[in-house]
Amino acid sequence: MKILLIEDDLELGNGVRIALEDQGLQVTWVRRLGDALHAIDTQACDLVLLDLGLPDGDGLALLARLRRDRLPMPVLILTARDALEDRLAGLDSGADDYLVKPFALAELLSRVRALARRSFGLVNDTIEIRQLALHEATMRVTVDERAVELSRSEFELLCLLMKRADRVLTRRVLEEQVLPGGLDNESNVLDVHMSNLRRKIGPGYIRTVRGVGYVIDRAAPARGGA
Amino acid sequence: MTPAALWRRLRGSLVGRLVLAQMLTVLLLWSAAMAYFVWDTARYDEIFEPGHMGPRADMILALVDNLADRPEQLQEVLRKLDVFQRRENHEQDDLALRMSMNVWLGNRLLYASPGSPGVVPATQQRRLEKLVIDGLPWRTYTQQSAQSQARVTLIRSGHAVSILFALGERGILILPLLISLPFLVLPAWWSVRLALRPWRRFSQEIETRSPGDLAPLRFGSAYRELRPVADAVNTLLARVAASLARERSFIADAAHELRTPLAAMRINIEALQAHRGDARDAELLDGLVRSGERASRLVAQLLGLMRSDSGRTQAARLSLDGLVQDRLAALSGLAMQRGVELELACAERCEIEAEREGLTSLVDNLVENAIKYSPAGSTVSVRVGADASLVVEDAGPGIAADWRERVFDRFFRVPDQAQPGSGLGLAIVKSVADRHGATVELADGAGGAGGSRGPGGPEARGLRVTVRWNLAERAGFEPAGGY
Repeated sequence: MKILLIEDDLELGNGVRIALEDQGLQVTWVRRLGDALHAIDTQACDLVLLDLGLPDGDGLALLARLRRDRLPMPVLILTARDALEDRLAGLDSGADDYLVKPFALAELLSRVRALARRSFGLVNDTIEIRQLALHEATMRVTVDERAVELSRSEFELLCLLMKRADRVLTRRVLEEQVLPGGLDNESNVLDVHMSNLRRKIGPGYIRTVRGVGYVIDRAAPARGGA
Repeated sequence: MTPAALWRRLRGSLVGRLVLAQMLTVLLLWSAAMAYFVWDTARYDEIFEPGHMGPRADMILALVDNLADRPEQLQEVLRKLDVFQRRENHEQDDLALRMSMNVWLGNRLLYASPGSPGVVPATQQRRLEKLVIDGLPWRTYTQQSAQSQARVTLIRSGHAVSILFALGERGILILPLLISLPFLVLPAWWSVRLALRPWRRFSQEIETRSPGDLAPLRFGSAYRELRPVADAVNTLLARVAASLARERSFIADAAHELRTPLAAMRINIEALQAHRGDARDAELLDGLVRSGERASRLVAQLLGLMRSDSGRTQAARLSLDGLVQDRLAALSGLAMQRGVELELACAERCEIEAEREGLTSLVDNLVENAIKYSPAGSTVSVRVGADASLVVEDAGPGIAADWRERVFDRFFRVPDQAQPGSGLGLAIVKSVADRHGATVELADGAGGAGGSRGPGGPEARGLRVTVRWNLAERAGFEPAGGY
């Protein structure tokens, strides 16, 4: 996968480039808006990492240009501005995600993966976490190569948790998934689904954060996740 | 109260000064009126005018002429007449006011009023004369009988001061003033207070202002006299607000600028971690990541504080339990790292009037603190009550009662702590809570005070922070002032 990195800071740009290349990604790194526009015109790329404050202009201009030309590649904004209005401005101008500096490498990689999945569409939509694999198009889930039968709701919950692995999904978000429109806080439908899901895929994948939500961690839990 | 103390008291008060000035004005007007009256009396010459005095002199001369052959009776009549004249205008015989007379027959003095200035050297007939006898001014009127050698001189004091004293003695002028002055003080005091009421309301507006409110004063400018003061205060407020805004934007800019090098440092270390050699290198790199995280957190807190202080954000109705759930989800990674369990209990849906970013940083700081100070293996429990309360409880070392006021100060840290920190977390919590009209309360956690929970050791009292919003006061959100 080819990534276009637009970042004017020398150390940060170089660090991100090395970290991404370590993950086997191809990175083109430019430091100016002009170079970035040139790179977009001349090279194919699958994902753009965009810093907003560039020495020769605003990164949002590039974003506008991309969207005007209907170029499909997803854009992840990297910025120091984290106020709500800044985030909204970024997302409104067509960015796909927004990451505030300083960010952890794991966070950056997780976002890049998620965007790449979206970008590649159905071409390669198998998500794998440890021994668990999920193929979205065919709704096929395997654990240790063994197929697991899931109900529609269970599949959707698992899909959501795997797509956003390492991030806790709140009960509210998950409830909307299984009970669209029906926001009944007292109901334990979600817990029933989760307990069934756990039984089917085995322990150690889904971790509960009591009262908050559920999460699937990429790394195996050090101590037994509930 | 001694007169000196009373004077100081009056001088020290605007009301006192105004009342005093009014009283002085009354006294001055009174004195002027009195002076005019005295002056007017002194020149009140009609009684001495020939037209007025003529008949009187005629009468006396007629008596003298007709009783010339009976001297004893004449003396008797003149004496009686003199007594009558003395008491004619006043009840008491008064040298200053009375009319005296000298009656002559040729060169022989027939009668002289007792106490009169003796022989008056009359020079002119039938007209008023001003004479000075023994240094005192007198006015005289002399008339000669047409039939005989008889001659009469009417004498009256021409001394204005003596008239004044004479009048004063009777209290004609002084007494009403003395009586009415106290009655004048009361309405004067009342009217002055009435006139000064806007001033008191003006100072009340300043007094009741919250310390962060730098909006211009509303009240003073309705009155011409207060406008210069209000304008001066408003100019000062504007300058303070502008300098605060400059300071805030400076800190915010500096914090923003710090983020890029911090990000660079972090990403380089993490890239290095992927190739790390031995355990010693790994430990050193972990240390670098942790310091980087601390610096990042401090920068984020500074930005949060500056944003919260600037108060530009808008309040809206939002779900407290939903927001807390979202924030706990976001912070569960940190909890996981620290081996701390997060737990949320929501009674039911709870909506409050709040601004999202402020509330987010309040929840983040409380929960981050709780996670940070909790020993590994313990639980941080968060509860959202239906009465719009948020309780965050940990099993950490807690905060001794002595420090519970001071921990809200910016950059204050409880001494001898194992955990690194900026000392800004609770300051942010307090700042946000204040702007929402919410209260923050610190108490021992359930794990403390001999509690059974928590592996934090015997020292661990735990900490329970309770933030309570005021549901009754829907309009409780008070944005910080600013231009």
